[in-house]
Amino acid sequence: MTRVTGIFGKRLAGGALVALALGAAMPAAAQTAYYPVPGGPQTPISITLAIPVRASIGGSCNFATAGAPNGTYNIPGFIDVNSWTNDFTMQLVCTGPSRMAIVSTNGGLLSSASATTGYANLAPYDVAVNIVQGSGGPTTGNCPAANLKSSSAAACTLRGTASPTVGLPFGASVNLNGSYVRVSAPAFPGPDILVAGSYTDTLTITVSPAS
Amino acid sequence: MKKIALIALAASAAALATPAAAQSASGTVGVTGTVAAKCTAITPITGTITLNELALANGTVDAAFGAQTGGLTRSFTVNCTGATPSITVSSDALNHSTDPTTANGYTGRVHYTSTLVADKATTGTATAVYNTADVLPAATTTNLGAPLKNAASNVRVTVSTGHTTNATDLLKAGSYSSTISITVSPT
Repeated sequence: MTRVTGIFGKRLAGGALVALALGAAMPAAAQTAYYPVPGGPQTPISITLAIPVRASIGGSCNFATAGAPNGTYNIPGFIDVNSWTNDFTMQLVCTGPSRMAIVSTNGGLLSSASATTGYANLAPYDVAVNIVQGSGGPTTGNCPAANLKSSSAAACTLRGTASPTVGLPFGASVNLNGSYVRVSAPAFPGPDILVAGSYTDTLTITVSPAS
Repeated sequence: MKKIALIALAASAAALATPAAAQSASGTVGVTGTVAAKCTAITPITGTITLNELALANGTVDAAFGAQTGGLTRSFTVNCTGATPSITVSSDALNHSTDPTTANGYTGRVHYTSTLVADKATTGTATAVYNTADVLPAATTTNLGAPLKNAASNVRVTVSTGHTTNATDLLKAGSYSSTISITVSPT
């Protein structure tokens, strides 16, 4: 709270008070201050004004230096016969309530090879996040990669680009170890057959302060 | 002077009340995997075709293998990841267990045809045919030109057309056997 003290003449003291109170919320009206009337009381009239000041400090949320999930995981073996999993570690510098969101470019591991009836060129996998928070346990979330494709209509809190209203909410996390994005899949279950070839996908992970 | 101060305060209050502009940070990760070109026999490519009596009543070979039991065709289920797999078939002749020679109007060797058929994932079939001879030819290979159909019993082999080197030769009594080799490869 900011306090402003003014000295006003008798005549307009009341009117000046009203005008100043409004001044905090709208452009200040013209004001005139008077000294005591000559011959009148010589004690200055003092009025205390309360001006509310509203402030909003937006939290910040970033990845720590070298703490962003980056790199490429080359799945060993063959995705049609081997299960696989990998963690991309990350470290956050999020000072308040924040959100994390992910977009999968292909919605799965995609091959450029064509697939006819009975065959598939898109291999599903799961994406999970574990965010270590400053207080309480970690925040977790997961979705199939298919649901992380920007065009997907399936329900998935993680999908999208993080914004104050989009993404998995989590609490403050500042330079804490143990957060990760996990990708995994069992051996391709069929009944279609994955066509031979190379498969790839890209995940874009974003964080933002929450509203 | 006081008026100026009040206006300035009001402006400051408004500025502080505005939410901070949203900022976001991002990271990018890639995931890559591989599917090898391969073919897998879902049902083992094994079995026996029982021809029973090979000769007609006159002692020459029964070209139709009419005494067989269990049929002349065997089916297998194979999965291939390759876009254009191939099928290969070969065999030896039905040879007498102790004397497969041919001489003096008798023979211990019966030739036959093995027909290997594979269903295409698109439409139709691909066929590889192998005929035995006294000098065995190379195996016969046919490329499907399309993926192998993802279905049960998508590869079948049939034996037919029994014959001898000399059509009038009589078959020697005894046991005859042959082995058909079938290969389904991903390219």
